[in-house]
Amino acid sequence: MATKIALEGLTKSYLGMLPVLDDVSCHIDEGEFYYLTGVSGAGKTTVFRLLMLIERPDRGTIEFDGADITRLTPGEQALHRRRIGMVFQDYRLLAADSIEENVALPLRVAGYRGAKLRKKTVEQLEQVGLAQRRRERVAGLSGGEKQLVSIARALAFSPKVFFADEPTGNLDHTMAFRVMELIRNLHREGCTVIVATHDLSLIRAFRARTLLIKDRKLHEVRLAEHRASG
Amino acid sequence: MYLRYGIPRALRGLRTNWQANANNVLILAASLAVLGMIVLLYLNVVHFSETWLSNTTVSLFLRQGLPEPQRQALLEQVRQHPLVKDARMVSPGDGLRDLADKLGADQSLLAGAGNEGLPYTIDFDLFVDYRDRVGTVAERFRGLPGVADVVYTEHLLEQVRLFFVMIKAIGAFFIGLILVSFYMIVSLATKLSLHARREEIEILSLVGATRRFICSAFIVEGMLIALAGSLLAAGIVWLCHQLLISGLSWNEVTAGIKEQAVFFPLQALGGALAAAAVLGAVSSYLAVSRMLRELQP
Repeated sequence: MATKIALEGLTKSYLGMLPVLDDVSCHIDEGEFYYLTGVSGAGKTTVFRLLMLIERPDRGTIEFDGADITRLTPGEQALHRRRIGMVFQDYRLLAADSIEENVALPLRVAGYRGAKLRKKTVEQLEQVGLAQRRRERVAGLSGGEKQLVSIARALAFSPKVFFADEPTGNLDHTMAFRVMELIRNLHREGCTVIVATHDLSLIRAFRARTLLIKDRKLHEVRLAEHRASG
Repeated sequence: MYLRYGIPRALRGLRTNWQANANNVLILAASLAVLGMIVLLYLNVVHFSETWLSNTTVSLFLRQGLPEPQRQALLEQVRQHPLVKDARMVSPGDGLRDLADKLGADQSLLAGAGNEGLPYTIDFDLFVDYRDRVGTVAERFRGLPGVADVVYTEHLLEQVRLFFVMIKAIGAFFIGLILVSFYMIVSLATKLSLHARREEIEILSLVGATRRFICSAFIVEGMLIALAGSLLAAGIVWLCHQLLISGLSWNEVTAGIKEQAVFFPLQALGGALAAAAVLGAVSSYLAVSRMLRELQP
């Protein structure tokens, strides 16, 4: 299987303090499903921020399909982000806008207009069961509903790469199950998926390859190993 | 593509953040109104100085007892001078009447004064373009036979001219200063209001929007806010101008000023509104670009 994402010698620290990630290397194969786990503050979100080019590594390279993304121009960075579906831990939705407007945003950015835009947006909303409520403002939604909107937005382009940072963090069991099913369907369609979570019950329920961040290093572990290492 | 997104997004942004935007409009209107009033004052000072200095009248006082044919010959000589715009003979009676008109309510001071002993005068004006040569022309006529004296306010004229030059220079300096302050106020107001929209800009960036896409809405917003502020400022300045004009009727001198007072021509107002809109757009673009650079990894 081809390597989709390659991290080589990645180091990242904040404000000159002890690094969050120290000389991390990892290869993510195309079409694979990975959990990214670790205790709170281990660096899971930092990994996503680096992959999304929100942060730059202090050292090391990040390759997507063989191309080093740390050297992209601002215009190329925008294109890079468009090919990734990203669900953020804090949703990152426009609170004053409606559900429909939030989900339509990446489509609009890519040039969709008029009936085509509306059709695609409604399709995404139907996947998450929010089509009937599309005109409601995001500010009035619960955490779980916001997470669904965030997922619908991330799925807008049927991305080949999908990242989710604690997608079930604020959800009840039923909603969490629904969200994971959506993500697993995406994976079945050939998408490369990385889900960050510290919820071991989730990993147990929906088994997949697991990467553990511990002591600023990244290791692939089996679930039993992970439990033992606490 | 950008305007089709930018305009509706900008209108939505204006509605959603109406309090911050209303503040910006008021700040802009206040600073523009101050600028506008100073420029209007400057404009009126310049206009008044041009009008006043162009109305310089020279009076040739003729010798007592000069026969009528010689008086007429002198008048004709003055009229034929190439720099003289028009000339007229003022009899002693006419002179007394003119003085009474100028005194207005105080003309009772002339009660009992007759026109005996008052000389004939020839009053003439130069063409506007040659008003700086009034001294030369007047002195030339002083030497003519039949002319007893020449009166024109040469020293006062020169001092007033210098005064107006100084006022214009000081006015231009302060206008320049206020323009710089206005730009800084607009920039700061834009920066502050965009700071509140930082998250929105960040989210747009995260879903893959390019710089141009992100800037489009904010440029339109900046333009609309600047237009609203400048329209309000124009209204304030116009109102102040009208109030001042209506209060200038209390005596003859101020009534004279009132007649000569000017307001901005429509083309200039249109140009100022367009310039304000451009400034608003540029300020927004620069502020958003700066924020996007800060968000760069």
